[in-house]
Amino acid sequence: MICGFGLGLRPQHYSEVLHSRPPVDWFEIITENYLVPGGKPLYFLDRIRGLYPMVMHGVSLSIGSTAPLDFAYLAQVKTLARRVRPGWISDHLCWTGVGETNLHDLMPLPYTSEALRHVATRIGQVQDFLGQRILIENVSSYVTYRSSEMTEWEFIAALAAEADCDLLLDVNNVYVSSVNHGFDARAFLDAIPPARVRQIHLAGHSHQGEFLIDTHDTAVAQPVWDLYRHTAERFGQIPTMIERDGDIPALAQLLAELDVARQLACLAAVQAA
Amino acid sequence: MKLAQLQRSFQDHVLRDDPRIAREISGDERFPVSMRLGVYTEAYAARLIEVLAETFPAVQAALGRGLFARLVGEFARHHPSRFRSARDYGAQLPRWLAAHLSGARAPGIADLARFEWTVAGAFDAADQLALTPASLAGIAPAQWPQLRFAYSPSLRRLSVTSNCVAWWKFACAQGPRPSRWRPTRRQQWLVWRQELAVFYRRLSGAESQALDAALAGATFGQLCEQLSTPVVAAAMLQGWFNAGLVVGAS
Repeated sequence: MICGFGLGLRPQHYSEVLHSRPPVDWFEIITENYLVPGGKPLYFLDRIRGLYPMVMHGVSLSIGSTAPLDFAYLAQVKTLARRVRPGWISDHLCWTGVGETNLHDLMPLPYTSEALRHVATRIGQVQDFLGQRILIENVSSYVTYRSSEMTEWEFIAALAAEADCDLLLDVNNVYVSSVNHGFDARAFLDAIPPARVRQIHLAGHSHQGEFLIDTHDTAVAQPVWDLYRHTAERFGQIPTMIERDGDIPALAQLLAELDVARQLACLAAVQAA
Repeated sequence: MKLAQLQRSFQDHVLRDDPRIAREISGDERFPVSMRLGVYTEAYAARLIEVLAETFPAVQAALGRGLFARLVGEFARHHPSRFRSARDYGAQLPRWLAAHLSGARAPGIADLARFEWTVAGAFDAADQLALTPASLAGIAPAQWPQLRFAYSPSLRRLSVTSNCVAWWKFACAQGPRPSRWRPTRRQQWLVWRQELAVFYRRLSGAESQALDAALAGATFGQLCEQLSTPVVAAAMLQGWFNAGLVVGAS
C-alpha cells in the first residue's frame, strides 16, 4: 500500500537510507537503473525494499513511439517487478526514439486523434503484458506541434479513459509547460479526472531566459508549491514525492523539502474539511 | 504529417540538424522555433556526454573537460545510442578515441578507456557465490585431474600496452601522477568484483595463459601440464579461490 510522502531513491543516499531509516513513507526507483545483472544496485535495492514500500518509474517505455513495443524490455520490467513488488509501475507520455535509436529524452507527442489511438492501443498491450494497470506521466515540453487537435490536458483525460490507465501527475511539468506554452496551469489540473491520479511528482526546474527547463537539479520552486497546494485541494491525499536527479543534496535537505509538501497537503485537507 | 513521419523528422533534427521538423512546430517572438528545437538538440548531446563522463571519469580527467566534451560530442553524433539504458552506451568509445586522438598519449588514453569500460562491466555483472577451498574437501584426489571450474561472471581480462592503469589510479586518487604517458610491453590484467568491490591486478604471462585456458574449459590436470607442476597450478588455483573468482566445480 503506497500512501503519504516519498522520495526518488538515488545511489548517493543508499547507505544513509539503510542506516538512518529516514522518515519517508515510500521510495520510487528508476526502473532502468536496476535492469542490471547484479552488483551494488540490486544489493541496495533488496535491502531498502525490505524497509520501505516502492514504486517503479521507467524512462524508456517509449509508449508514444511508432517503433514496435520492446517486449524484451517489458519482460525485464516484469521480472524486476516480481522482485520489487511495487505499488505500481509508471512511465512517461512521450516517445524516446524511432528506428532502434534512443534519444534518451522524453520527446513530446502531438495531441491528435491519431496519436491518441496509437498510444491508447499500446498502453493496452503493455497493461496486458504486465498484468496490471500502469501510470502515465505528463512530461515537460518545449514545442507545440501545428498538427495538434486538442490541448495536452484534453489528450491526457481522453487517453486515461480510452486506455483505462492511471495517471502520475507531475506538477512541476505542468508548470514548466504552462510557462513555455503560455497556458493556464490550473486549467490543466482542473481538467484531469481525479479518479485516475494515483501519484504526484514534484521537482525543481531551471530558467533559460524567459523559459523553463525541467532539470530536476534545484529545489522545488515557489510557483510549483503554489500549484501543488491547488493540486492537493483538487485531488486530495494522493501519494506525493520529490524527484531530484542533478546536483543531489544531502538527504536531510530533501526530507526538509518533503516536509513542505506534507504541510501544504495538510493545509489543503483542513480547507477541504 | 503522420505521427511516424513526424517522429522520424524530429529525430533527424536532433541527430543531424535536419531542418524539416521546424515547419511542424509553432513558435513566437518570445520563444522562436529554433530555440524550442535547440532545447532538444542540446539536451541530447549534453546527456550523452554526461553519461560517458560517468563511465569514463579517468579519461575525462586525462583529456580535460573541454576536449572530452568535444570528442565525445562528436562520438555521440556518429554513434546514436541504440540502448534502452544509457549505461550500456560507450562500448565503442575506446576504439573511437584510438582513431581520433593524436599525439603520444593517444594509445594510452584509448587503453585507459578500455580499462574503465572493463571496470564498469565488472561493477554490475551478475552475482554468484564464490566457492571456498573447503567445499572441495570431499573430492577424491584421483578425481582432481578431471575437475573443471566455473568462474565469476564479473571476471574480465584486459590487455594493454601503456601505463594507463597508473593514470587510472591517479584519477581515482589511489596513486601519484605518472610523469608521462608511456608505451609498455603488452601487459595482461585481471578485473573482477568480489561482493560489492571491484578489484584489478596484473597477471604474469604464465597466469594469464593458465587463466585463459581455464576460462576455455581446461581441467585441473590440463592446467598442471601447462604450468609444468601441480604445485604451481594448485597455488594459482588457491589464489583464484581466495579472490572469489571460482564459483563452481564439476
